[in-house]
Amino acid sequence: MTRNNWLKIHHRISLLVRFALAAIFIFAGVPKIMDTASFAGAVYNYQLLPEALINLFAIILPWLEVIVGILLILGVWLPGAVIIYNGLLISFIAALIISSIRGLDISCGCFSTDSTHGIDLWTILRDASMLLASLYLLFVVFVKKITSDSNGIWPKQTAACRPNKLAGR
Amino acid sequence: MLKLILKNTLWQIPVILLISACVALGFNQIRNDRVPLICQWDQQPQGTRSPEAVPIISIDEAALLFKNNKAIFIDARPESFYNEGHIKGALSLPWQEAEDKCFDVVEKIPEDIRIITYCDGANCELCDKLAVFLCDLGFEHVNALINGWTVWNRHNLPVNTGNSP
Repeated sequence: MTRNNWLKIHHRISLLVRFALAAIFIFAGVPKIMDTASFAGAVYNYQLLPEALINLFAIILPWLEVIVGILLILGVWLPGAVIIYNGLLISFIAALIISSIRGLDISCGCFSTDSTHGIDLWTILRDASMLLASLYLLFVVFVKKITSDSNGIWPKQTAACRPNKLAGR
Repeated sequence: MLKLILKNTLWQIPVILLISACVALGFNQIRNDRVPLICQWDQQPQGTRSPEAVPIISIDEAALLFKNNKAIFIDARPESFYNEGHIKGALSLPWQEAEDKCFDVVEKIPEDIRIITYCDGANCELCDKLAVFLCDLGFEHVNALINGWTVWNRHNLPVNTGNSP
C-alpha cells in the first residue's frame, strides 16, 4: 500500500470516528432535553453536585452534548469541540466509577432518562471505549494538524513546495 | 501552528459553553414544562434526613410498575388536591398530616411492594419529604416521582377523582 493510500484510509477512518462520536452525543442529548425533569432526577441521584446546581446542570448539559455533536459533524471549531468532548467523557466515567464505588443503585441517565438502565461494568467499559475513540480524534485534530499541510492530510514534503519557500526568502 | 491551534481552542471552549448555556436556558424558558433553574432538592434540615437519599423514579418506570401492579402510589398533596384528581389507585397521605394519618395509610400498603410518592411541581418538595418519612418508618422500596401529577397527566395515564383510590 502506498503512503498516499494509507493516508486516505486514515483520513476516512478519522472522519467516520468523528461522525460516530457526534451521533452518539446527539442521540444521548435529545431525550434528556425532552425530559429535563427526569434527567435532573438522575443527576440528583448521583449525589455529586451541590443541590443548587443540579437543575442548571441538567438543563445545560444535554444542549452542550447536542451542540458539540453538531460542531463535530459540521467540522466547525473542531479543536474546542473535541476538547470538550473528551472532558465530558472523562467526567462521565469519573461519575460512573465514583457511583459504583459508593455502591449507589441508581440509573445511568446516560442515553435516556429511563431509570431501568443501571450502572454496571459494561456501562463504564462503553464510556471508556468512547473515550479511546475521542482521544484518537484529539490526536488527529491536534498532533496531526500541526504536522499537516493546509489540506489537513499528512505533510507533503514534496519538491513542489520547497522551492516556493526558498523563493520567498 | 501549535500556538494558533491552542489559541483557537482557548476561545472556542468558552464560546461553545456559552452558546450551549444560552440555547439551553432560552429553550427552557419557552417550553411549557420548564424546569426551575435552581431548586432545593433536599428540603429537609441537615441532620434529620435519612442517611440514604430516596431514589427518584422516572415516569416511564413508574408507568410500567403501575401497569404490572407492582407499585402503590402515595399522594403527598393536600387532600383537596387529591379529591380533585389523583393517580388511579393512589392513597392520600398529605405531608402536613403525615404523622397523624400515616398509620391508617400504612395498613393499606401491601408488603414487598414498591412505594412511589408524588406531588406536583418540579421542585417536588412534598414527595421527597414524604418518601424520606416513609423510609424512616421502615419501608425499604420507596421512590419519589418528581413533578408526578403533571407528568402522569401528560402521559395520559389512568387517574381517578373523589376520595376513593
